[in-house]
Amino acid sequence: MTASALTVARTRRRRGRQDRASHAVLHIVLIAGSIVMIYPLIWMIGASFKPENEIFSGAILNPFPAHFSWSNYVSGWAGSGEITFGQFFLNSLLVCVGAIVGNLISCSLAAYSFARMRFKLRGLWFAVMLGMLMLPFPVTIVPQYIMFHALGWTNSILPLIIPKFFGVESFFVFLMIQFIRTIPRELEQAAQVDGANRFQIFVRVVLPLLTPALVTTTIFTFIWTWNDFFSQLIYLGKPERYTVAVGLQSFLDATGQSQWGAMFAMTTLSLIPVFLLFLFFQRRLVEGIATTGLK
Amino acid sequence: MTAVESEPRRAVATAARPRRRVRRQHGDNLAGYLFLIPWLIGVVVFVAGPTLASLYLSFTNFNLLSAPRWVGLQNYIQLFTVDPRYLHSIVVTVIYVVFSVPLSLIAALVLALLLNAKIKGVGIYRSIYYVPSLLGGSVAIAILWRQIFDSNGIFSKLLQLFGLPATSWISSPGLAIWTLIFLHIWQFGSPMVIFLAGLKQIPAELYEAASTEGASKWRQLRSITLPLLTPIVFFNLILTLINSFQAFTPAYVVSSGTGGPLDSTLFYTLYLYINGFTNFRMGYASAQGWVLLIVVGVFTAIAFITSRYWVYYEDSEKR
Amino acid sequence: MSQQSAFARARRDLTITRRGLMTSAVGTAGALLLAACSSGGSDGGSSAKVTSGPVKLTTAKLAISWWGADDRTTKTLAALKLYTQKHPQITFQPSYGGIVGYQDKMVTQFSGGNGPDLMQVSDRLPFIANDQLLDLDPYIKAGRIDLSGANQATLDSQRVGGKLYTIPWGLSANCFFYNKALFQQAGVAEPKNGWTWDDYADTLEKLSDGLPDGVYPSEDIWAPAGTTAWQPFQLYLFSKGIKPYKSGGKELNFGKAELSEWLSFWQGLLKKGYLPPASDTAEENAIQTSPFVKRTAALYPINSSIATSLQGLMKDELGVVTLPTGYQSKQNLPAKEFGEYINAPIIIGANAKTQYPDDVVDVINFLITNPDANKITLMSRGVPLTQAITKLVTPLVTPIERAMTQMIDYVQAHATKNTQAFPDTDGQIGTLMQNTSQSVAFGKQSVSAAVSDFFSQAQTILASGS
Repeated sequence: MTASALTVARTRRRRGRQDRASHAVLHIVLIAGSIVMIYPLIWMIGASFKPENEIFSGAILNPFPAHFSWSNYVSGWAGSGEITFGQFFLNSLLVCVGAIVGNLISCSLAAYSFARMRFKLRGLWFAVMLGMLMLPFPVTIVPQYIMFHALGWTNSILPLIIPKFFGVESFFVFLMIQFIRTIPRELEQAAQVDGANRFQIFVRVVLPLLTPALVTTTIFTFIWTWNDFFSQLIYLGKPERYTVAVGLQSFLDATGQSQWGAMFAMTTLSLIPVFLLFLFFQRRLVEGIATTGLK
Repeated sequence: MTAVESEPRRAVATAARPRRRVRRQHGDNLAGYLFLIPWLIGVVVFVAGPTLASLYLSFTNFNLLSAPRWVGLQNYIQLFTVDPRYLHSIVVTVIYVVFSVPLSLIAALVLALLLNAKIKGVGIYRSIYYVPSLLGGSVAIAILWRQIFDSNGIFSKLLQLFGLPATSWISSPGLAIWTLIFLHIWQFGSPMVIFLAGLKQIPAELYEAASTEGASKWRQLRSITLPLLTPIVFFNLILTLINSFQAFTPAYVVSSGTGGPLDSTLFYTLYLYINGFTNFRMGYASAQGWVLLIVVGVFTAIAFITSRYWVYYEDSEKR
Repeated sequence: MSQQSAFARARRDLTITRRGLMTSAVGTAGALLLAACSSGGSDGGSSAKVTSGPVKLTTAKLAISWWGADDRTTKTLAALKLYTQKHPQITFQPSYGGIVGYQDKMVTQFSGGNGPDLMQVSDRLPFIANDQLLDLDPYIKAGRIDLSGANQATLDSQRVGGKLYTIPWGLSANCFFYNKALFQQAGVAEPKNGWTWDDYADTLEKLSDGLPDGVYPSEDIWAPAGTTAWQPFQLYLFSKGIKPYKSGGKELNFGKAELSEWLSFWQGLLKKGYLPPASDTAEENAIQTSPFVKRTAALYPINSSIATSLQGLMKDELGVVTLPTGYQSKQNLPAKEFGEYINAPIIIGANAKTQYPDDVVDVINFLITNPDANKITLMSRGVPLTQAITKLVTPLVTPIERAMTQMIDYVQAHATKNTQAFPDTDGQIGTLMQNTSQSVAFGKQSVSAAVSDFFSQAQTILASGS
């Protein structure tokens, strides 16, 4: 034990200097990459502070406004009609939270079943699960609408949330299956030997080990729901229920007045919650609860 | 509740005990289906109806506003016989898939490996590299992408630095598809995050053991990281493949829903959408949808078959 | 609590939910058929028994939809509020937002038998062809919608099968916007309403001499956010006395000669360098990315409805004139050869299945003809339909809107009865025309090759229509 610890310590010291040099190189590469990645965003933030007649003519490429103005934020926040953007934010948040809870519960249950159990027709159901990803969305919009209308759910957020509680997001089911399959079975078998039932094993053993996938699901569900436009547009008939994605589209009109500045301003604002969420949750990916704590 | 409080710890303590594996083909019928119940309900209630309806509609003339009229295979026949735009949309989509899938996956994997390092500010870097994906297919992207790739755009300016002529990438029929491929690569955030999560699943003690034995970083990458990451690589491959075949938002947003210039960005699903909602030919669009389902299904099946040879599962029962 | 009972309860709950939901799911396909059948079966509104004179309005909450940015939305909401003040028994459930996805939402709602009572429409033909819109003629005859003071040719252009289902909710027309500063810089006289295509070509030639390098006299006719090639060509045909379709929209009514003449005209201008290269034109996907806004073109063919927006994007003052018409003459053409008519993209229609036709009709009448309502809405949808209202609001609007009003007045004064049965595949012919024009401009095809491709593909499209 002590011998190997010593070796490790010595190797680490030797590597320390190399690491510092290679880290410097890494930083340079990453910063250069960051600029490419983030330039369009900087441009957009800049545009959100420009008066409208400066955004698309003149020095277009320069992200910094010649005349700095907050007015886009004021007019953008006023929203559309009598509903402010604040309301859109709250609505989006509500839909997102519902979708996240639904996806976490339903997808992990289904994934555990698919990944760890052998049952009749498993192959068929698995194919169905993947097949659900393969039909392009426009062909089911209308039948789906008719179905939700028959249920009396149109003009409400129910069609956006309830299905998530029944695992319709195959992406996450499949994601969790793949992650569960990277977990050695021994831990579950040990729990089984100790008399835990399947559900206990799932909750006490599998879910904690699945944290990275659950975090990923949370992040993606939030962002994708936040950005999802079509289904929100179709099902949220009343302006007081509109979400951010729907609200953003209402700034532009090909047959009348448009508000580009306000659109950029609100797009910028709408990125803040998703960015913060990502910044917060990506830590969970760094720490990685996984098997490291189980040595 | 409290009775099972210490389960995980005990589970860990007993992890080393010999396995007692029950190896029956359908040994978990009851438990399997119990866990699957919510999902099955979802399939029956929310998915089956609309899906079967769209299959039925693919054999009809359906203009969305009057009752569908049965026409048998006519839609399917028309697709392949009298519709040059359809065949063109297939070509455009295949080009998109062939380039954007591998390129975006490689970018995502490389960045995930770099951003998995324990360096200062790694959280900030990750967030920055993820920012483009936050934008998704928002209205802003449509405008940003035009700005970047038109003849006075930053991209053209950069190429000029290398002595290349100033061209408008966004508006040249031969080049426009590339701006969408770039867009896909630029938004590699999602597979990157999944890779990062996957990297965290790899037990740290494996690396420690390898370091102790003096294995180089490169060697560790090849013999530990990559093999253990294959289920996640496989996942990203399948999903990126499926999503790219169905790519809609980028072309819709960037070309204002036209697929222009000269149909050069007329993606399969975009053309399907145009047929359904702009041309009021939902029956025809549904037929397109089902052809795509079959094609993507075949590709996915092929991927699954080959996966036996290169995907390594920790829980594999073959060991 | 024991896991066992939790599971049992969950299972029980799920079974109940499942039974309730199952019925609906299995019924989806059936419901789809039913909804579609019932929508097909209606006769397009009860046309017979409309009485004249004052009507007692029913108490109702009317669903009304439109698209538009905040300016239009705020004004419309205020006008509706005014209506409710006058008729407290009638309230509204408005639904509004961007133009993107608007039609999808409308169609989906109608498909599900859940369309709004009243709505702003753009692509009216499919709705009319499938009996989804209320026939307004009986109400107009009964004096319940007062269209006196509206231009007859304008109303006629809305008619389908002789009936009026929709009314322009603000007038606009295809036109050319021009940059006054660039005209001044080049020392060229500004164009006048009623100019011809020959005048246009002359103007381009003069501009070309006076404008600096890199600034083109005009944008191409297929400018993607603009007129999209097909409508200007139709107007060109009209001015030659040719209707675009015959046999009730089953066949094209023009020959290869007309199309190649048109395409060659544009190809000629492009070759002379009067128009930006095709790839510059294709950079435009909306007005803000157009060469005109980038100040690299002095003229821009597009629908006048975007006047305020376009002006808002630019520092230079803009002007607006009719689309040129006629070809062989430099004289202003006599009325019968003036091809242009009002082709408003923003129109109002009512759901054929509305429960409250009387209320709905009264609201339409209010929005179109009430002076107070129009003092609120101004020109947020274009120039008002009737002369009296237009006169009333003109002093209240911006300079570009006043120029737009003059242009519309000219068009209405000269428009002929260009009534024409359009097939519901007209939109697809438009896309085909757009691609044909682009193909020539990019040099992918010669004019003659593009023309014969156009005709063979148009045949397929027209055959696929209902």
